[in-house]
Amino acid sequence: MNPPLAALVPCVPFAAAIALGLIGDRRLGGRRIGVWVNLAAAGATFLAALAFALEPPASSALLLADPLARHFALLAGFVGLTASCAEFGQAEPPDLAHALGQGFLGAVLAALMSNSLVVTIAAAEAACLALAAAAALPRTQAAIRAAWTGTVTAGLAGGLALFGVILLALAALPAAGAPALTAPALTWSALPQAVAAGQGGLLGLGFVFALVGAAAMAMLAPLHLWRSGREDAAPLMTTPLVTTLAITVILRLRQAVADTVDAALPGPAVLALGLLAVLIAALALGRQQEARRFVAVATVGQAGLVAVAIGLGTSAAVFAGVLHLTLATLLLTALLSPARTAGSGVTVAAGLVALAGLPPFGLFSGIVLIAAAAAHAAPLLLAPLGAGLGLSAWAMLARLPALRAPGAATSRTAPRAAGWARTGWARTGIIVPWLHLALTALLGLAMPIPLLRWFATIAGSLG
Amino acid sequence: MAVPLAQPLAPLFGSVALIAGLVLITRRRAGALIGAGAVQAWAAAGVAAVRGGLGGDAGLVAAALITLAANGVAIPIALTIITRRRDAAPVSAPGGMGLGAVLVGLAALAVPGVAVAGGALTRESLAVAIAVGLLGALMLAGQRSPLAQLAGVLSLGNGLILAATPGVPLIAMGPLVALAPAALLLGAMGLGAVDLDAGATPGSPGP
Repeated sequence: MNPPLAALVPCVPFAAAIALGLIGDRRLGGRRIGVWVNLAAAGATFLAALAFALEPPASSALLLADPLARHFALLAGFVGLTASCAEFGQAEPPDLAHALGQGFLGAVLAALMSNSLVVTIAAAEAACLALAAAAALPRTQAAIRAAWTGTVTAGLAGGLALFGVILLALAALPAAGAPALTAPALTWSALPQAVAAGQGGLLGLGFVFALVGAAAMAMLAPLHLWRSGREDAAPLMTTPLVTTLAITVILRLRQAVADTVDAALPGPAVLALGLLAVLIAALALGRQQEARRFVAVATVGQAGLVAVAIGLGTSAAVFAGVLHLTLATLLLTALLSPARTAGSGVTVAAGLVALAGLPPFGLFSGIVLIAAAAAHAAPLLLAPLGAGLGLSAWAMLARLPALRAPGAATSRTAPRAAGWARTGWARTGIIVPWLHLALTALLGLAMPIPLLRWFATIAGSLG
Repeated sequence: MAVPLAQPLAPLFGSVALIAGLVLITRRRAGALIGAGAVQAWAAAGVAAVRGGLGGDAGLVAAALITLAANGVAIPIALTIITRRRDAAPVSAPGGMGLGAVLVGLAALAVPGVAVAGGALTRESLAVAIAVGLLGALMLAGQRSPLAQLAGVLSLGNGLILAATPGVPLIAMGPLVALAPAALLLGAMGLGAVDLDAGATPGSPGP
């Protein structure tokens, strides 16, 4: 695949977003045209992401094609496709939801595949803003409030992260008689070399700003206090992808400055944020009544667990972190599926059992691998980590019978939704979450050797 | 002769931006907030224009022009129209001058004692940039008033511009990071989708 073709991966959803915005509510044979366009665009994006992952072009100043970028671009493309399939089975998705969903997917892919730090941060903020706009779609007072908070949070997170990038760039400039940095020097692939001779104090400051910005996007505690409630507000199944994206930014930052900043800063700072997120999510889970909000809090905990692995920083920990992030993304998106059929209650229950880290679902393997990496690198960490994980699992299983399914049909929409649920189209919506659940079981418990090598390559490239 | 004359302007504009940032967190009336935000944007654009002009960096000059046109002119005018039309109530000050002074002190302590970019950016000017950004973050995170939150977004953007120097690639994209949410917030306020009186202080309009 050559670089211009790789540009198709984010450009297809962007183009689809514009087309869907223009098409609006136009119908053909009773069905919205936008539903078909959404599905076709998601299919094309997935195929382009698959080609990018399997036949990567060389990285350039703008394009990043390392194993991590390829892996998560493929995951985002896959989740985008399955989300479109699930939305295809939805009776009446909100106006503009498809356009914003495609815009969000395009921004996530652009951020994941961009080699420029500035473009990555700008695209990540654009993804957060698309989610904020989607949160406003129900047009209720609460929805507008959630969208406003989401926009403010996006501005704050993006601003702080870009502050960090500028400080990293300044630190990378030679101290005296500096010529300009060239664009390729401020890329993810060249960042470790660029900062190797940089000024330690300024690097540390830049890292802290960038970490706080990315952590706010990932909703890591205590920055989850600024959280927009995007999981429970935005009607998009792909919402957890923004947390996945922010965590990859943290992973890249941590690995880039690991050897140049004072060793006491990057790893322990990420680890502390992660541990705090695990503990706070564990305490908050027991109080949640509604499944969508429950998923939002669970996302904080899962992001925290991956951050713990990133903070540990060893090859084994990074392997476990990337695997766990992949599995958690699949699970959390499955739980946000818009399916409203007779089986959706069972699906939610199975998803929550998986999220609790119980076998046969793959999160169990991710947790065991992260705990093993922690036991090897920092045995004392096992006590608070184990307490947090145990409390989370207990809260998930204890709250299971009391949870209301996400977005249960209201009395006004119930008759139409009930009629729709009997049609063949609706079945696509229920298949998708089970496909995600099956994949997490396969990846966690019976991972094929080529996939094992794939994850090992990712961890090796970051080690 | 242009270089020696223009060079001292950057720290002067930087000081004006910092004072405007401190004024921002203490003002309660909408007009005062908007005015302080506009002054800060003009000062930040001035710093970027001087640095970009002296360093021959077209991207930085472009960033200065974007900041001036959007943060310094278009958004203040739009905000003035909206707040006059909808009679916005005064907002509560997020922490006052004391908290602002603490943040400025923290910024000064956090910046290591070195000049960067070959002396184009001194320790003091970097500390000013970080302080302006932190004051914006304080308004964003600590305020419930939509008007103050919008001012916080703009202040954070102005801080980014103050930290920019020639030679940092793609810096012209910097203003867009703050401008995109600002435009959305402004649009929501203009459409009446948010309550401008949220977080308002009861009683007197204040300073």
